Amino acid sequence: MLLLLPVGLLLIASLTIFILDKLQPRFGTSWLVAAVASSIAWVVVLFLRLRLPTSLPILSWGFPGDYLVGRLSLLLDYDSWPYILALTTITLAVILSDAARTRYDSNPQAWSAGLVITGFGLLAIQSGTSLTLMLIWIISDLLELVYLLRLKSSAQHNLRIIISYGVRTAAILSLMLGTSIGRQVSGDFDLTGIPQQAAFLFMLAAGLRLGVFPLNLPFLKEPELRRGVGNIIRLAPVAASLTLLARLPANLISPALEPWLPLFNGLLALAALYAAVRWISATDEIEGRPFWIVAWAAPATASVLNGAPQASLAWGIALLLPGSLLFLYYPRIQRMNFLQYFGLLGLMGLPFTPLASGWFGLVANGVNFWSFLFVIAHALMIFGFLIRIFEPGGQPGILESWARLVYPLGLIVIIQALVALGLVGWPGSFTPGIWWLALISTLLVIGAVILVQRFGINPPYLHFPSNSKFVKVMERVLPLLEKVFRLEWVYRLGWQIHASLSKVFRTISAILEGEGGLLWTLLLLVLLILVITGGNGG
Amino acid sequence: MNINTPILWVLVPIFMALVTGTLFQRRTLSLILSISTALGLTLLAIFFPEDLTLSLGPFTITFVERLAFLGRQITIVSEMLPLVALVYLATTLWILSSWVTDTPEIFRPTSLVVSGLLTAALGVQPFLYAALLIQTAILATIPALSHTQKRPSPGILRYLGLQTIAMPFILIAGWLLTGIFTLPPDSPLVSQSMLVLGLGFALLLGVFPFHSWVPMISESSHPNVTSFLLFILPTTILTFGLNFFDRYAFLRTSQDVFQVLRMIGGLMVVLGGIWAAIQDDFKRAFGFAALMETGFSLIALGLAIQGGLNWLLMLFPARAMAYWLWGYTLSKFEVHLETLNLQTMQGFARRFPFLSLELVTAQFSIAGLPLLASSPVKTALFTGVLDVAPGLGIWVFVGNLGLFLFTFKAIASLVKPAEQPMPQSWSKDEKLSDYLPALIIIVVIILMGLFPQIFLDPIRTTLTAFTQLQ
Repeated sequence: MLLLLPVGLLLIASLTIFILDKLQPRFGTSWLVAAVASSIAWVVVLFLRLRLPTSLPILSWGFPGDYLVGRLSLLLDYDSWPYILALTTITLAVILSDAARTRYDSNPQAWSAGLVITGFGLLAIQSGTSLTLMLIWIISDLLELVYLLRLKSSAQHNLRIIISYGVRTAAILSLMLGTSIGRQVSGDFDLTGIPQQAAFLFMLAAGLRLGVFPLNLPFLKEPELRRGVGNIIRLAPVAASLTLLARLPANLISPALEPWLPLFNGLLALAALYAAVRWISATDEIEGRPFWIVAWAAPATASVLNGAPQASLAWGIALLLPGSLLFLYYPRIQRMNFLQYFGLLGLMGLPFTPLASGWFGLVANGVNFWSFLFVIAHALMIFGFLIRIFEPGGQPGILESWARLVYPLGLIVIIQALVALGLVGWPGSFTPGIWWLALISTLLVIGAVILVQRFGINPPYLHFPSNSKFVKVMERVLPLLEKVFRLEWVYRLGWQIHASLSKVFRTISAILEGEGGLLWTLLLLVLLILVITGGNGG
Repeated sequence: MNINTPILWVLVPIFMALVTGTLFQRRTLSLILSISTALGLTLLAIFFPEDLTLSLGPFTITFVERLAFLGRQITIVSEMLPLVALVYLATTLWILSSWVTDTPEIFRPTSLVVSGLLTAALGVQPFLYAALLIQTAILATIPALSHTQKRPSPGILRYLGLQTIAMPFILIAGWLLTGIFTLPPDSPLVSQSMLVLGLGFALLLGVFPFHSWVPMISESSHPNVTSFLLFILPTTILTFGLNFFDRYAFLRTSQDVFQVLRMIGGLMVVLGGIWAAIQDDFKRAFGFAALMETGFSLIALGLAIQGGLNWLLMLFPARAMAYWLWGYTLSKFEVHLETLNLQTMQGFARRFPFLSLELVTAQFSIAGLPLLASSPVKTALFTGVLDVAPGLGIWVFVGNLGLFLFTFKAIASLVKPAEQPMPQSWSKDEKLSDYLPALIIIVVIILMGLFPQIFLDPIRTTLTAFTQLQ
């Protein structure tokens, strides 16, 4: 039952804030409720590290003769605990740092929504069976759909929301098909024993939801989802998908799929590279957030494909924690800029840092061209992070007195979690890793910084002048790349197939439902009988 | 005192239909009588005493499972009662929704007659007379399907024509099958009788290419009536079909028969899925979704050896709820619009958020989205068919995506702001009484999806009525 305690706390807190806000809106009380609940949840999650692995069976259909197989259960193990800690940390950080954003998008309704989303996110991460995961995904997707649709937006943005929802449902259906195939092979299985035959579909489900496999980016602009709770809404589903990746078997690629492995790796490496370039060129970190997610999720997925699923944990944590450290750093305070260096350290992959164990995933099948492409993408991401760090900040005087204390505390909590995960997050997290890959990446970053300086652009203003050739080239190339990677052409192609099929089948319908329909029916019947009997008349 | 069970579940509803039919202008009274009859018969079927005796104070009622009628026997055994309960529960729900929608008044007596006749078809001996009872039930549905002021639509004529052609096929098959026990298995008469029987059932169930009446009547008739018809007819016809498997060993032992059933079922899912995906009209899409469901039933029948008959039966309650929901929400929307297509319903979710959610839930439930009623059975079916014929399994899965695609088109249209000078904002033009009944059914659908062992399992008892199929 301990597994349900953090979830329960967050949901109760959410309900309390919701009711308080309806009855007697009090900003301070609501904030306090959110802060206390998320703090306790965070402590409970830390404590749960001592109780791994822990499972909680919830429900089993138990049909005689296994006519229907299905179980709901929760499971906390070394694959899920890091993500549980990361998500509760992000939530706590959001609530604490929201104290500094009272003039922006921080309000009790948002906290209430954020706590619910975190609660469902925790359940999704702890899912013990594919059925549990599917159910939680469906509920959380529906909640997000309703939340997004209620925001004021254009018809075009509405369509994007529906496409995004469609992609997520496609992931659930992939999981459903995978579950059917898995049950055919090994009966009722849980997520720690995903059969090889079904594993690819599970990976596809995670990849679809992460937007990396195949690359799909329905949302590039998210004007209404900014900092704070917007960060939870964006990252909670990501955490659940990353957990699924970590649970996949090492032998995911069957001999039949092995020839396709270089292609899969290539697609992921290109996705990472494209996303890294977009991350650098984004006007701010929030504009770049969709690309941030893709750029770190791509090596996580590649690790799984290469047979090192546990290496995906390191990439996943890099996505969630240092990312949140940056996304929640608003308003910028010059004196607090140094905190971002801890995030940078967590991203660099140097020996004995949290990302060090991630390098194994990229070279588990040997070093190849794609491994280097990933390293370049990694270097670009670090470079982009550096650009953001060097941006100037304001004075602490812009904050209220209580916010001056809790705002930095929110960011420090993230750093603490990052350190804890680097040390004891999962077996093998504290490792020298593959130091030379980290070295190459670091050298590339240093080289990039020097090059940028040679072009006459000095920190802290690491932005290219708008009239520079680089910017002009990028302005032409990026929209083209965006069209390719946004999968617009796939949707358009799909729509054309749909239109062609429509014409054919509408014609058939018109014939069958028309005046001579009965005669056509009889003709079709004779043809069908001939097909079924193999043309020998019986 | 002795009471024959067929009197209760066959003659009483038909008699009450006559009463409510004559009182149809007194709407409330007719409604109360119809609902109490259907609900009472549902409850009686659920709580029927196993020892066939019921003591009420000094009175003891003994139930007799048989009734001789015009030289034939109608038998309703207690094992069949879960299915009978479902039939009357469905009838209750549809009569209730006829109250809150503008369903033709004739629907209430019609639904009682149809339920009575089809219940009789499940237990008539010799069982071939079921074909006559089914035909009578089909004739009884015609007034409810046709609008009183209009000429019967071509769809209704097509429906009547194809269903009527089916009856002689079933009767001829019965005649051919009479002496089949004495024939060697490779006798041409065996395959001929199978073909005739198959044709009869294909016509009754609207199997491709005899399906054209389904989208036609779905488009032209009232959604509440169509959804009831498309649930009740296939459910009883498929159960009636089990009689043949129970009685004739050559059918239940023939791998070819099961393979053909799976293939035809798969074909229906794929074609129905494609047709559903390309639809613009919600009512026609419902017709194609119903065809897909028939396809799934045939697949379940084709997987009999793997336990498919259990899945066949467990699909019925899940289907009833989803069909009801789809029919109900379309009936509600039809009050506001003459044609229910993607263009005319653009932005409806912004005015009728709950009803729109209910419509989408109905579609997702039929499509087998996890959490909803038919998903546990659909997942088991996919596993079963992938086990026996992996290629067909993938086709069936892909075909099923057609309904998902239509649902996404529907969502995109429903939430798209209508083209106005100002962007359409969210409002609520619906009353609690409009959407509350459907919300309750959504809860039931979710409970069925989460706890199939409670909500779907009891109907499996029906299989025990077929001694050879358990």
